[in-house]
Amino acid sequence: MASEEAEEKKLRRTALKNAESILAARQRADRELTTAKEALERKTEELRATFNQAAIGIAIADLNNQFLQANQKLLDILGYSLEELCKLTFIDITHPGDFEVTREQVRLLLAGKIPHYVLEKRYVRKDGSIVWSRTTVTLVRTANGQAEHYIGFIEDITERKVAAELRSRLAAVVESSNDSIISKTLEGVITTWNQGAERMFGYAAEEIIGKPVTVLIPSNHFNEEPAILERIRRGERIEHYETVRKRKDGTLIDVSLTVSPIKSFDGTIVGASKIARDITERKRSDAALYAEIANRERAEEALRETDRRKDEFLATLAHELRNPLAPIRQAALISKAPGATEAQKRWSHDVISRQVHHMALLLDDLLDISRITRGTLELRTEMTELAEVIDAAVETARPAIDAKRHVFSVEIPQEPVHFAADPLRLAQVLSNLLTNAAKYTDPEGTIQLRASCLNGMLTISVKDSGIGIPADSLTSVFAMFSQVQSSQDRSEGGLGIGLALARGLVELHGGILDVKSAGIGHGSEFSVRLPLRTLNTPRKKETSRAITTSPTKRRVLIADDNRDAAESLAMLLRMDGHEVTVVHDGQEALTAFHDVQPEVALLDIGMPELNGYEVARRVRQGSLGRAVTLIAVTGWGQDSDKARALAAGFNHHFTKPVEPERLSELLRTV
Amino acid sequence: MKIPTEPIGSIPRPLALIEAVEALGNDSDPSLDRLYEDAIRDTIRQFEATGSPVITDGEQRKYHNFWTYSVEGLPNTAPDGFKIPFAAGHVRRMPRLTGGPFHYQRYADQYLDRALRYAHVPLKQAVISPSALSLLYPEEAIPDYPRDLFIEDLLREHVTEVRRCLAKGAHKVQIDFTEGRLAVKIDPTGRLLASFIDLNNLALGRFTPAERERIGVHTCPGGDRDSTHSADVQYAELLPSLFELNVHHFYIALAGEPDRRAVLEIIRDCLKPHQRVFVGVVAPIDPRIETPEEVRDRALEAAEYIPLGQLGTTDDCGFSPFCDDTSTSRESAFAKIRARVLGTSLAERALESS
Repeated sequence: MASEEAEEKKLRRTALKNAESILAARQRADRELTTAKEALERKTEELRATFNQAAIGIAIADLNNQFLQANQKLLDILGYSLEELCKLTFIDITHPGDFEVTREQVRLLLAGKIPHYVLEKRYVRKDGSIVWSRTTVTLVRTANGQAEHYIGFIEDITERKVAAELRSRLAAVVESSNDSIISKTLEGVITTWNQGAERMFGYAAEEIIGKPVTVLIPSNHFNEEPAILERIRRGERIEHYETVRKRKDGTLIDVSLTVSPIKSFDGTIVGASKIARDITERKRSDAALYAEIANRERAEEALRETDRRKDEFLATLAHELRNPLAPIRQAALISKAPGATEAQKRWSHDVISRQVHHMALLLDDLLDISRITRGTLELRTEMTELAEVIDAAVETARPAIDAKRHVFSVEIPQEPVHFAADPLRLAQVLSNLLTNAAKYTDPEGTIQLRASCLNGMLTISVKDSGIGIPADSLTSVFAMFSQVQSSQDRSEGGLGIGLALARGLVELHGGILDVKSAGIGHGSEFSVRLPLRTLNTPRKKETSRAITTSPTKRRVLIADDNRDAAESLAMLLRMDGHEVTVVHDGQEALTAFHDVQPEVALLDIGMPELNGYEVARRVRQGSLGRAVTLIAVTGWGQDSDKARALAAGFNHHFTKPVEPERLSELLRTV
Repeated sequence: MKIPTEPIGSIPRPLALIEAVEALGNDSDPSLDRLYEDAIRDTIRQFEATGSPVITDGEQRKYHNFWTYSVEGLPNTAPDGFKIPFAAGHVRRMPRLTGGPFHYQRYADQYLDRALRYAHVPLKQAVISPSALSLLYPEEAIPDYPRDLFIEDLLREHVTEVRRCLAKGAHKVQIDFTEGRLAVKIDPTGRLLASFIDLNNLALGRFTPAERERIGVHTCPGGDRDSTHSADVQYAELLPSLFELNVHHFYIALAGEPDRRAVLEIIRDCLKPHQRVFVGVVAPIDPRIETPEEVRDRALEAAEYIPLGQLGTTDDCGFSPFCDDTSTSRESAFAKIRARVLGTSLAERALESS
């Protein structure tokens, strides 16, 4: 028993000694715990500081998705205060478009299918704006695996997203551009190739990328590329450089190039971007524009030339009209001089008659050219005999030919040639050509008129040994107001409209008038070519142009406020035996109608009191008016003037000055 | 409401095994392997046949007992350690540490390796407390191996053993703390008990909360050969300190207590909300087989004091903590266990019907 007690005491002593060690161990443990707690607190504080000062948003949310904690960065990102945010769930602030994917990821997380999820998703900030985030969420579990809360890391990637979107849009713009946009290395190797480039050059991206850009350059432009690359290496930009490039099919294309350096992130130039615009169409339209401008300039020049000719013509016209006045005035003085002999008086009358005839021809030509220009001249086409036309023309031109003693010959077919034409107009053409030949050939020259028929065409040529026409004037001689510049131009007189009139008349016949000349001093040859056409209507009996004395005496009324014109005409008619009454205004004319009851009345249109039209209308309205032949005599010779006269009741229309022969013929036949 | 029920640990070894070990004089002769294997397999089979939802391997290979199995055969020990006197008059002697450093000779997880091959239900594993093994160090200090260092080594080895068992898949790891009452007995001042509680808490403090969820502490008067070493010590002197242990589960011998209600009152007063107490409803030292009804009544009695959510049932103690104890037969042990299982179910029904 004593030994048991001793054993127990020993056990107790030992145990109590152990207790001291246990106490020491506990104290050590307590110290370690304290140290660990302090370290933990420090760590916690560090973590709290890290949490609060992190450059990324951090949040803790419970399993109901409600925010429990958030750092300042997240509050800045979302625009909420911590108190406001902790009343919300992370679903509340998720953009509706990202609800579904977020919920699915949370479901997988809770089911333990994924350790965490990472989403690029949108949040709706307090102010309603959208913020893009890269959100990483982890489910924090307790030591026994129980889900406890979520911890999320939210990085604001709005800027990156916007930049990516911008890049995407830019890429779309580049890809959809009609311009060719390509990039290349500094060695000239193609690295990118858009659809515009594919359309422009015909190469697909996969077949051209990696190839040297020189495949697009025609060999004669090879020297451009090194120069372009050299400028790019210097950091220069090349704008609107117009050149030529080559398509896959070998065809060339006009392009405008803009080349810019491509820099790496550190600013080093690593390549070049090139925008090529197809300017083929622009080049084409430029050419058309230039042609249009040239045409306009030529047209303007032609107008100026025409204007110049017109001025010259007007000067010539004034000269030509003034020329006859001097001999007329002088002849008139001579004829009425007290000492004038009968021979001198006849000479004077011849001069006056010739000069007036010349002036009348000038004015006729003017009227004709005006009609042709306006398209109002009408041919009186009838079946015509060639020889008669030539005879008439020669008769007209003969004085001019003979005056310069030219050797004149005519060759025409032996057989009569009948064809449809206006014989007077055709004779006018030929006489014009013959007169010109006579005029522009030195005295004692030769003039040949030949006519021939071949293949349904009649050719009449007038060839002279005259001054000739320089080659550069062969076409312009037919222009209005044209005269070949020479020393003889003015000396020979004329308005310079003869050839224009002749060509116009020939063309009205469906023919051609042209000219050949070996140049100045080598003569000229004008040719008229006409189709040999026929008419079903019989040939009119040619009226004689000769002045014949009318056997019929007429009662004639002349009304003209130009007293000289009226009296001189009356004198001529009286010399032919007609009974003539002269008045000087419209009212007197009406009175005279009643008084003398004329068979023929020649009425000026522009008279005082009543004009000629009005007089004619009133005469026609009266009982006497039905029988009288009314002849309008006026300076207005246009067709419209003639039509107006006929409408007023006139039977005929004469343009001043009246040709006495024609008037006499008319008085004979009315 | 389900009332969980678990055993404490040991089941009497088959006689053939006990006799073979005695004949050979040691427990590790290879010729014993088959007997051990048969004993383990049969124990688990019979254990599972009782319907117990949690079983043990009956500690068939623990040698020589629940207290010293981990240091048996250590070269730095001598057999002349402290004597533990039992009420029946016999004593058990502990080894004495003769030198450092201190290491376990074996860890209890090796028993799990075997048992898990045969078990179909959750297995729990009992280990000895650090406070029990602290008595290995003699009164006189060991040269070059101070007591403080021994305490550190002891804590490390204990934590290692528990963690290994948990890692092997033990349903629970139960720390046998039968020296609690003994500490009060040899030091009525309570200083020694407090020291034991401190030591054990130092160990428990090294576990994570999750690990502590699977750790329990068993206390009893120390049964051996149908007697105890400290039944004369009142629970009132132990339990307030016991529930200071930083652990969730307590396995407390109650069936053999003369005044169960008094103990239950103490438990009710000391039990903390996060703690569950498994009260003993069968007494291994009582040769009589409890009936299920008796067990039911004891469980219902306990339920009067302990919230059902914190109540469980267990055996008062292992049926054979010492390998050579033949005072209780295997059949009796399993019969008592079956009674515990059935009685607990009856209690559940009774509680449900009420």
